[in-house]
Amino acid sequence: MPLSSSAVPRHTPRGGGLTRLLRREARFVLYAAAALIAVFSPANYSRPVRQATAQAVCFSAWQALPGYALLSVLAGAVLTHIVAVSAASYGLSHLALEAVVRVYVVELLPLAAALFVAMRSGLDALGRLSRERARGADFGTPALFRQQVAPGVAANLLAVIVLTLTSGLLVLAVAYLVVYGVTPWGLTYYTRLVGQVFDPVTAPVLLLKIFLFGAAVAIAPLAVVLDAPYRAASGSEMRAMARLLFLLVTIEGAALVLLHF
Amino acid sequence: MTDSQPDPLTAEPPRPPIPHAGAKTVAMVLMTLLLLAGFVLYVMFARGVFEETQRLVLLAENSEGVTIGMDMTFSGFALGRVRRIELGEDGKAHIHIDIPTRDARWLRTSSVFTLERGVVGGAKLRAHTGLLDDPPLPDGARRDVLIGDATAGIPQLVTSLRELADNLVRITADESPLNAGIANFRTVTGGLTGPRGALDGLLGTAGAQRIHESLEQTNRLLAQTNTRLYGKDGLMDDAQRATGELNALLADVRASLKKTDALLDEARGIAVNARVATADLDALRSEVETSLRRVSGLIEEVNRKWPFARERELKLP
Repeated sequence: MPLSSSAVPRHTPRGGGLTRLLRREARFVLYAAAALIAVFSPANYSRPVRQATAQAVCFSAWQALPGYALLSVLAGAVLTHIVAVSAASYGLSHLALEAVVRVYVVELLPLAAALFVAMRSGLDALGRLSRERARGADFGTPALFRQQVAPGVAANLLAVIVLTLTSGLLVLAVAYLVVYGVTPWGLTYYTRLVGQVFDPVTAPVLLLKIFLFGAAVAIAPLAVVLDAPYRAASGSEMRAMARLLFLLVTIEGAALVLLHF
Repeated sequence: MTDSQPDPLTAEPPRPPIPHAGAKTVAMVLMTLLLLAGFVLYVMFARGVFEETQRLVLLAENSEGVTIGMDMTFSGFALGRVRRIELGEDGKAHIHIDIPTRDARWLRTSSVFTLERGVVGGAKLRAHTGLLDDPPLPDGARRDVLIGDATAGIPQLVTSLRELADNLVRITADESPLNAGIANFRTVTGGLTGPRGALDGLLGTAGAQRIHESLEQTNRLLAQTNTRLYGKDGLMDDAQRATGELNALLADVRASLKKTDALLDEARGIAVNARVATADLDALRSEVETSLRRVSGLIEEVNRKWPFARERELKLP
């Protein structure tokens, strides 16, 4: 099956709608897999590709990191305070930190980082690719694939991982400070609590979920490169975002199944 | 994939270049790897991977509420962590607990272990050591755990509540004594608003009727008594007249008593005179006795000198 989309006819004569859909999805999966493999292939990073990747990573992650980290820390501090005060009023203060870590750090932050990167860098990449595709660019060619597709995928993937890890660790620190204040005497209990939350199942599942969220955000815009030029010109944002949301929900559901069942 | 160059006429204009993008990317990748490694190491440290531990096996009747990774506390401090739970050959739950060697000094051979289950919240494993001078708990020790279950009383409580509900249903049934009592009470309270008030409820209709008739007779008697007592020429008028006559009589008696007092004064004067006369009489008697003794002496003298007369009897006046 060719990865190039230039060979896709305007009207496929064979099969019904479902067949065409499945064929298109299979082509997308192959193309996304090729993009991810290219991202993790050192031989792919020639000098121009490295420069393009560095530019994309700086745009997706470096520039977004301070603002996102600040927002995450503020939201984490407010949420921790609210949860701590509410739990204390019910005599459940020993559960407040655990609830914050389980809900905010494990569940909400990865999803928020993925959506943030998708809205900021993903839509930008989608717009650039769709405009290129509308002009007839063939992203199946190795040069365009390496120059314009792989850097964006690597950048978005790395951005999700960096934003999630950084903000998560910062929120862990801020939650400790909000509950205990600037004192080292709660560290033992807090470390034990973190150890209880990130048990041998939760920690790997969380890391895997972050990686899969990054991969989903990275490959979601790629669907447009498989579209015909006329279709890419008609606007692909909604389809790409719907696909992304479907992927994110699927990953989240799978993670919940792994964690709790 | 075919190897072809992008058409420069259709290529998207590049984004403005970010300075030092390569260095920033390397720094970010390194930071990500460091964060990842730090997070993993921290979690491993928090999980006690780097600690030397000793094993303690607690035997419980059931392990309900005990979860892998939960803490065992001593004086409120986490001392060990549940590593494994298994059903032993003896039918008891075997709870394997890893205790860091540096904390194992708080556990002695005489330590007591409890598993407490509250109504709210999960189960709690606690260790209690009364005698810290006892020998340390050996590695791999097996101890029975005492179970304190706050929810154990719930079935009994439910049974009691069911009995209470049955009793309530029985009490509030249509033919229940409470309903009959309420009906009677309603009858009594209804009678309170009737013409004879509470008497109907207390004495019944017949008794209330008799009481009512007695009251009417009493009222008539009181009216007649009023007429006889306070009416014209009634008993009170007679008494008032009698009182006036009694006052006049008393005035007469007072005057008579005054006269009697005067008579008594005169009698007292007479008595005084009589007492004085009695004193004079005593002196006279003394003189008479003296005179008699002299006469007696004289007679005895005469008799001694008069030999014919032997009559020596003396007759006093």
